[in-house]
Amino acid sequence: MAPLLLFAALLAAAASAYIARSERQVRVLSFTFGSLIGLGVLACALSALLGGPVAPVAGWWHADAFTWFMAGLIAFVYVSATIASVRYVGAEHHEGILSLSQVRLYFGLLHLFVLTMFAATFADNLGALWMSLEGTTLATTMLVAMYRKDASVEAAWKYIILCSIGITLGLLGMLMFVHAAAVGAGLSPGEALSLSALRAHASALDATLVRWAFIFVFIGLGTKVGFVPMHAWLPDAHSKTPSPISAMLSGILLNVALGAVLRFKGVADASLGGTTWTNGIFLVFGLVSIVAAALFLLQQRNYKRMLAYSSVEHMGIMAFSIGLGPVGLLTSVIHMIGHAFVKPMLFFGAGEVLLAYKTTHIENVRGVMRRLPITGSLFLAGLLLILAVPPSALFTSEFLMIGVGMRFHPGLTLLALVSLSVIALGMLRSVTSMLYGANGEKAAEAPERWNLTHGVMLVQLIAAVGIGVWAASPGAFRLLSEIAQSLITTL
Amino acid sequence: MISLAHWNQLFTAGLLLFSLMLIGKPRLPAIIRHFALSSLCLAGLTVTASLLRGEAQGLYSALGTFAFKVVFIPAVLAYAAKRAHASMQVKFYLRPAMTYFAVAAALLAAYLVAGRFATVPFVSIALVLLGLSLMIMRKDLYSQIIGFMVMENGVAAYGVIAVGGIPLLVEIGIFLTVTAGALVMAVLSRHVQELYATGDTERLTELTE
Repeated sequence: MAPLLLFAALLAAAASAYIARSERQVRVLSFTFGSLIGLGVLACALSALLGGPVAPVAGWWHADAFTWFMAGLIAFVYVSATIASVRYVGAEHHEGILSLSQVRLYFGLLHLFVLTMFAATFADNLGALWMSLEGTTLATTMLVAMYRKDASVEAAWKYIILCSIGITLGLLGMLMFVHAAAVGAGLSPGEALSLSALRAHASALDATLVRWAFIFVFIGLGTKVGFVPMHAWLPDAHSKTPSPISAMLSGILLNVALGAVLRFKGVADASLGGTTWTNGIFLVFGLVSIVAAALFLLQQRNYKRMLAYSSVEHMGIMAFSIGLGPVGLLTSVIHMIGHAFVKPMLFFGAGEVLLAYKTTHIENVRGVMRRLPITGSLFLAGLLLILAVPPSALFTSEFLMIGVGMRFHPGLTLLALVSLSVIALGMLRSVTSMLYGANGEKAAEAPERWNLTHGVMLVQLIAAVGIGVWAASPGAFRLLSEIAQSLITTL
Repeated sequence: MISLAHWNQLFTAGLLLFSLMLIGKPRLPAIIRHFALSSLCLAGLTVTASLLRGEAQGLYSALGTFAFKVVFIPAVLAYAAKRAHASMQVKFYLRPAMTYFAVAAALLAAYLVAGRFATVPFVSIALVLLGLSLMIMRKDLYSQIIGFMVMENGVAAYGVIAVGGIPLLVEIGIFLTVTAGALVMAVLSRHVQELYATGDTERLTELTE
């Protein structure tokens, strides 16, 4: 019942964008709805995670520790992106870049997008899962095409076509799972269309069919995660979208898709009687994603694309960690938190830079530290955190990953480590030239004032550091391993 | 007297045949028409397959296929193409001989896969591969949408033939999602047409690394 209430509230939020009379009202209503719903879910998630056993939800939906963990992350990114949107969209409307109808579309789709992400997280029914994953693509396509420029429409086209192909292959994989359950365990298709049923009867499924089913699901949903080589849409879509939406696409949507893949990994592992086979797939795709991202990041001319490729890298790191076994899975959970806090922050910062400089080309952005000292400082701090400089949460996870990796796969881990260093060099080089490079013009404009986005960025900064420190404590270890465990043992 | 099993085979053949034919068609209306015909065969297949299994609900699912994939989606695509003054002449990326060679290769691959796995029907693998190759070989917006829909028909055929009996609510949800996808693609294709004044995706080259 609870998920349906949440969906209704989000639908109301989306409708409010079309009921409001003025652009200001649209933003105020969305702000109100966004913060109320987001904070509500966040409170539920925290109480479920900290307060002991989680009550599962029956029917099409389910909730375990990992579900609530993911819901909490979505809620956090939702609230911060809504607040950042209020400032960003307001500024762009003021400058005449976005019309009133575009503002309505923006906020309407924003809430629908969040709805589909929650639905994909809570879904136990495979049909509901598939619809909500495809829904995330459909809800964001017009957001990618928002600016109606050549490049943004092209990015949107690539995005919807590639993700739709992926999700269709994913559906084929899911049906193969259902088929395997119908043949092996004698379930009716209606019963077998459920993750928990698949999981419960996993041992009865035919191993060959399960392997093929998982490959289809992995390739299909992996397209949405942005694993190389299925990532071709990602840098375009993430860089052409209004910055707060980029933040959500990069910061949380990729995690939601990865979470769905992990659910099927649980089924496949239980069916095959071991994790070796699926772990191998995760290791390979993870490593390839990290290495490819390093190559693209070395010579990046567009700072939003740089952040997008950095997301490819971080999804690669998570996949690589997952491939390393139980400790790696725990590591990837920490990494998900850190990435969901820091990446949106960088995109918000990028949005501020874009508002001031009107370009996403690194070579045209110089002297950010003088012209936008607050944004510049926060952006630099965020960059250091995403590069896993301690005390970032990402430092904790990457340090653990390298430690575990060196034990099991020293060669591959070394390659990953070298790529991570190349990425750090490439990103630092690009960003220092933006922040400190000499700009021809004088800083004639009025000094930058503290705004809403800066507040959001500061909170994210503190949270990312706080989580990094907290993750090393015994209490945190218990909670995080409970979350990771729920992916392995229960559904 | 033609038995139910014969009808079943006939519809399966039609589903594949019309999808094969649409690949060779140079004009957009013909492509859309052949897609609708192949979806019609899918609707028929849904009825016969479920009757053969002794279920009645295949009828509703077939109605859904008919309403969305035979009538609504083709109509929307034809309308969108007309509104955007899209060129009705579709560009081939490969020469016809090469196209048919690729199609033959796709069919052979499907045959090999289906031969190895008795549980996976040939027609659905073939449709998925045909849809994919259509999207790769044809470089125009509407062919890409149709390619996606052909793939989707292949997955639906798998659901009908191998799995069967998927709850109606889920079926409806999938129909609605696919239709929403086609609508968004149609709207987006209009934006592309307006901005680029062409439906040729070869021109979409702004974003290359």
